Amino acid sequence: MINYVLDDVALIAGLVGNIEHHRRELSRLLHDAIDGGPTLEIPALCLSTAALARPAIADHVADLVAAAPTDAIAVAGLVRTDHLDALLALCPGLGWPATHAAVRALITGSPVLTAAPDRYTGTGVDILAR
Amino acid sequence: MTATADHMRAHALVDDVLNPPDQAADRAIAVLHAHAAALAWVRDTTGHYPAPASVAAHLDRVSRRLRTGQEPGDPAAIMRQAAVDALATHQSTAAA
Repeated sequence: MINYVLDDVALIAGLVGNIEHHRRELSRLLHDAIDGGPTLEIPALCLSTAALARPAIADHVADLVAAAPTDAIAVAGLVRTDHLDALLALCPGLGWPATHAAVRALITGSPVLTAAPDRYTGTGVDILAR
Repeated sequence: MTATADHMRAHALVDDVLNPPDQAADRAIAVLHAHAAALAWVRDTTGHYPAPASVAAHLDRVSRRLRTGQEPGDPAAIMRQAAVDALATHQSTAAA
């Protein structure tokens, strides 16, 4: 099964930014997830950061989680794990949204989908840059 | 609400917020899915995450060529073959 972890930068690019192809690509990703394609996971701290740029994002994402098939689109919480402890020691300046995205990627074995790939340097996660 | 109605509502919610996908977005996401599938194949084959750096770099290059149109063809087949080739090269280098 394929799963993507969407970070705050990808969310903001797709839902707030003015670049047309980012919006259309996120639209295709969401439609595919609803239709049984790769699932999308949004770390809660990435969602809260994106919501600072546009508060309605939280409502849009919650509406989608509630309407889409179970687990197609999910918001993931932050839990203390060995991965989190290791990342905090390895990359103390990473910031919480990227740390949360990287932890979820490590736990699920999924790539992080981001528009800022450089910030994950040294985290040991697979990255897909948009 | 039925599952079908939920399904239609979910699609409508996406279209309310975002512009509908076009051909370029369809191609870009087809390449993205193929790239993700190639990474998942490497993970499942090696039993390790993330992919070795040389394999990830090769997949990035092939994916970029597919996205920009430099490399036409079926993204899934091309990315899968790229993963097989890159992993074989990585393993032969590591064994040497």
